[in-house]
Amino acid sequence: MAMDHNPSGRRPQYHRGRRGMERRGSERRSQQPPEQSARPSGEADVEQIMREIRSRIAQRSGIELSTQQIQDLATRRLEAILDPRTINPTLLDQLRKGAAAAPDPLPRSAETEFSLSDDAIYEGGAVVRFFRRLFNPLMKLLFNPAPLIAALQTQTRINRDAATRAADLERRQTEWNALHYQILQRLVTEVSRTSIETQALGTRIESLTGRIDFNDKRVRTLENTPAVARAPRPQEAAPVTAPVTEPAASAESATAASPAATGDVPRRRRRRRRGRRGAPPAGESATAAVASVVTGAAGLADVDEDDDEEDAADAPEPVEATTNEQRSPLPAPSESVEPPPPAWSSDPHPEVHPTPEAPAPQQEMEQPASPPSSQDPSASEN
Amino acid sequence: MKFAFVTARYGADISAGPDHACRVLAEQVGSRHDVDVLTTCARDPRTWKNEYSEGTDRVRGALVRRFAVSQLRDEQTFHQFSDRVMASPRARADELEWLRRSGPWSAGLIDFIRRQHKSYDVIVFFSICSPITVTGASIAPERTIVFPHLQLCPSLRFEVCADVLSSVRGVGLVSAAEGRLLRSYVRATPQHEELVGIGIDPSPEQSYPRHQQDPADTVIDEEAVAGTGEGVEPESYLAGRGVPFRRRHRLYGRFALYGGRVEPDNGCEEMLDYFDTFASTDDDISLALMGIKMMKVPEEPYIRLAGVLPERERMIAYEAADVTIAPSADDLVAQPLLESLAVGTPVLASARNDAAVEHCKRAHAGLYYANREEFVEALRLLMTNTRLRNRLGENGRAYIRQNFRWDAVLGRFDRLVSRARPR
Repeated sequence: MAMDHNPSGRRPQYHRGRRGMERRGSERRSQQPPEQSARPSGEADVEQIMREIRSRIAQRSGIELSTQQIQDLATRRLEAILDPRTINPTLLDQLRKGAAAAPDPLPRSAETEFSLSDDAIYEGGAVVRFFRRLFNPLMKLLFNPAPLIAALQTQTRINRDAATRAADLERRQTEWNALHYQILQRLVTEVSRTSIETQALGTRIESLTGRIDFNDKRVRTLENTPAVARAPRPQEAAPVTAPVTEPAASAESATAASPAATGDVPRRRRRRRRGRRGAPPAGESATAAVASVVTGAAGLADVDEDDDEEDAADAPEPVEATTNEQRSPLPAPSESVEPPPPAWSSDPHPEVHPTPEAPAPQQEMEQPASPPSSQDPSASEN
Repeated sequence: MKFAFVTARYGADISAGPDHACRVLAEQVGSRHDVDVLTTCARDPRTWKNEYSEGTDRVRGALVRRFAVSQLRDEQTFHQFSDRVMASPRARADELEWLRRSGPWSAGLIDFIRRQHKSYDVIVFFSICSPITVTGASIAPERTIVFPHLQLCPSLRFEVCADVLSSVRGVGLVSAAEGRLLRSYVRATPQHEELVGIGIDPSPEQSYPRHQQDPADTVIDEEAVAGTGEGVEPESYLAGRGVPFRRRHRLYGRFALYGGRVEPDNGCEEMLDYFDTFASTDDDISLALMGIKMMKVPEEPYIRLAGVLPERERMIAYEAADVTIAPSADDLVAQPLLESLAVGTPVLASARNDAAVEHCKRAHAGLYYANREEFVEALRLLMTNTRLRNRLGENGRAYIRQNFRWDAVLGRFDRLVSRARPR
């Protein structure tokens, strides 16, 4: 349908396979203006837009069933509740019919059924009626029929009122039955919907718990991994000005890191090929690459290959991990260690002044930017 | 032809409900026929206190005969009586007494109809839940037309209502949903019925972009032009349509508008609650409330109270808004919705209002919500998608032009009258 396509004729993004809420994030999705609902040409179909809105809401809440499917499910549950073995099936049928059909209007026949006129006691055939009329004065002389007629009329009125009241009560009862059935049906539907939502939320909680566990493990591993695991690549370390003198500790750590780094070269290449969505700055990419090497050395590189979004979302993490790692217990810098020049230094060969009390954190932070020549003991001696 | 339009209240300041519908229809019919308006001196529907002077008056060209209300409404007594009548099986006399106590009851008006009904060709009553309609329509049902203006309430189940609507010659409806309510709930079978509707005067369509998304463009230009004191060019003035409302209420960003009484019964409480959820995720959108405030409104920075506006300014407000919200579930006339569509502003209506949903679906000019999530999602869609909003607005204009122009409404009214007239 035209609503499902954007102007370029491609399917909109939300028509791709379901990725799961934990990957996309509900907040981010809700913030996106759904521009796809606007038709590029022709009139806007309000009902179609409403269907899309409802499906979006259902997806967000984790319900993949349509309203009709939920109602079917509710109907089955309702049948299970209204078990014909325990409840009279006739009553059930009446309940269903009463809910579906409009209540009967008030019967009007009651008034005619119980009507009694003044001449009712004289009714009969033509001849009989003539003689009754003829002898009426004589009869009235013998007894007075007026109280009799009045009593009958009173009884008629009472019967009529009773019939009206009974019909009214029956109508009300039918309406109540219909109301009760409707309420029951809607309650069961809502309960069904809620139970589906609960299941979806339970699944999501499990997924999130697994993710938290994974991240915990990852953090723990990163914290326990020694800093020597990092081996910056030459092209990434190239912009950094190489210090003339290199501390012995750096050489040692680089030496210790080299086996792990060497062992993970194919994996590193594979991760690099996957690429990143945004083009990070050179320094950041270098840091991230170092972190990926660390992750690979720790044996935690079993991240899904198609998890590019997760990588994009987790992009800042390697930086933090690197920092944590650098704060991990390292060999104390010797007094001869001097802080390397900053990366933005324009002087490729700065003057070296040995500082006996170099600030340790700064030195630690600068360590990833060490040139590859630091692996060369001769370079460090220079 | 000579018409008598009978309604409970009549005045230029009444801008909603059956009384408003009576006034606008009387004004339109009065331009072609002889129309007398028979009404009471009441203005406030809660007390029915006599506020207008009794006698003959002329309101916007229509001759108005006002009669004093003979029984004021005592709220406490009425509620006690109402509880008793509604709870138990009732007689016809109880129903009549209930209607009389709910008011307004004017013995002089009923006497006048009884004496003068033969001097009118057609008597048109408005609102079935009025003792004047129930009593007056039974005087000359053969030349009576009733616009019931049904609203879902227990008194609609009164037998007298069904009897009146079945006995009169014609019943005028304002929406198809009202016709369904008439048959299914009131269980009346009118002799003749016609979907007349209510006429809307759309403002002339302009070719300029109506919505101003950027507060830095026209609004500032308008102020600059006004500040120089020079003559405003037509183009700049037209480009600023809707701007008077925005400027007056300092609404320079996007905003949604509600028009009508601000009271919980109209769905305002729910709307404010839902909008609060919406505003928590999108904080640069305001909600303007236009109408009498009859409930406590939360003091939030995104809520603006515009007060009661005259008709022309009301239309400007609708035009200035990006979206109009129609939260009422019982308003089958859906006048704010139609007025909003007439100026090309899409609506977001309550899904419980069948008439509003029907207008939205038929016009393809608005969305509707049944719960909080739908409200937030639909409002976000309308607020962010300018193209969709413009398209819905165009559809709304076309829908009103096609169905709710006054000549179309009067044509349907004439058809109803021709069917209902005694031969």
